[in-house]
This record gives sequence, C-alpha cells and structure tokens, in this order.
Amino acid sequence: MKRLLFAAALVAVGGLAGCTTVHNPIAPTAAFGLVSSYGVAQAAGLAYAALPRCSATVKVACSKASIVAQETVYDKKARAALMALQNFASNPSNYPGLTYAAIYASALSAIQDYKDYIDNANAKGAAA
Amino acid sequence: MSDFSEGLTKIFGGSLTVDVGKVVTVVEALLEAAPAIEKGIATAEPFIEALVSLIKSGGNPTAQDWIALTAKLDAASAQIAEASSEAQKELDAQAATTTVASASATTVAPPATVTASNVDTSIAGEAAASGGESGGAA
Repeated sequence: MKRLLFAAALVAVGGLAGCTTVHNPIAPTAAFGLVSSYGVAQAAGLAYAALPRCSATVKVACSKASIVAQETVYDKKARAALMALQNFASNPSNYPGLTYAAIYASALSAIQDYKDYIDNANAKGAAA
Repeated sequence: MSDFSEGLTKIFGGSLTVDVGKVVTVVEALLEAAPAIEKGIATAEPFIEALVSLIKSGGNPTAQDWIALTAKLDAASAQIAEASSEAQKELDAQAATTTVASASATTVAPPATVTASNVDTSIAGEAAASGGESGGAA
C-alpha cells in the first residue's frame, strides 16, 4: 500500500512536470521535488542502518558497521550539493559562472552516489 | 545514464518529456533495490506528503516550505550521522579487542632464555647453599 502511495506520488510529480517548462534558473518546484526525493533516499539509508548487524548467525537483511560508518560521508556530500541547488534556485546571482546544468548534475550525481552506496550495501548484505 | 538518474532527469529537469511508465519503473527500481525500503518508506512519507501538498496547491514552494523540508533533511542527516558514529564505535571496539588479543598472545609466549634446566640449576644451587648453611649451623 505504501509502495503504491509512493509510486502514485511520484507519478503525480511527473504529471506536473510534464505541464511545466523548466528554464534556467531552476524552477523552484523542480528543485523542491529533487531535494524531497533525496529525503526518500535518506530514508533508505536509515532503514539500512537500523537493520541488525551482520554476524555469523545473521547473514540476510543485515547491515555492516563498516558501511553504516561511511553513510554520513555520502550524506554530507549529497547535502552540500542539494543545498547549492536549493540556494541556486532562490538566488542564482549568488553563483556567477555556474549554470543550472552544472548544479543540477552535481546534485543528481550526489544522490546517485548515495543511492548506489546503499544499494551495494544491501546487495552485499543479502549475498553474505 | 542509469534508470534512476534518467528517471529523475525526466521528472525534474531537461526537456521534461515525462514517460509515466518510466517513472513507475524508476520508483519500482528504487523500492526493489533496497530490501530495507519497506521499513524506510515510513520515514520517507513526510517528504512525499510535503511534495504532494505543494503540487496540490499549484504554487511555488514558499520560504516556509523550504524551511520545513530542510528541517526534515537535517533531522535525517542527524540520524545518519548518529548511526554512523555508533557504527564507528563498534568498529573501534572490534579493533581494540583484536589488538588486546594480539598483545595477550605475545605476552603468553615464554621468554626464550627461561628453560627447565636453568630453573633447576638455580633451585639446586640455592638448595645446596641453603643446605650448606643449615648444615653448618647445626
């Protein structure tokens, strides 16, 4: 049910985006949506951290301390990129020489890195 | 470009050619990628709710919207930092245990200079000396 709700919400975002043309600077709603999506990624990271630690007896659906310990590093990188995106959307003049594409790509890359890290962690936990 | 980033690009940027099927695929990929997501989705709901609320209003996010969103991200980041800190403590404790075990193993090893013959000789010598003194006194 929650999965369907989540899917429906993002489809709704997609529908809205389809009716909107994004120019440079970034449309505030688009930036808000991207930053919100990072919150969803954070939730996945927190859920992983909350799993029982992998051990000799717990090998599936578990978390590794070494991976959780590094989560905050990825989180900080993503947060910095997203804050720049958010700030750019509100005050593009604060970023002379930078473009929408560069800021957006940076934020997207940071989210992707964070998601990949969590995905890999889960894959290893499931395979252990 | 992966499905995830491609999907986000379609949703939030670029030409905004939205393929609903693709969006669903991206969402499904996100959900299926992490076994823990079902548990994590509860913490994700506030982000979705805020976004849906904004969409329904039809307007741009206000300063209050940004403040509220930032507060949620800050809270999640704080939780992540705390979890990472706890995990680091676990790793440090494991490393310390390993070091102590290694040090103990080294201490247990007997010195190479101590041998049975050395000890026997020493005791025999002392006994002889002691016996000699006693015998002399008697």
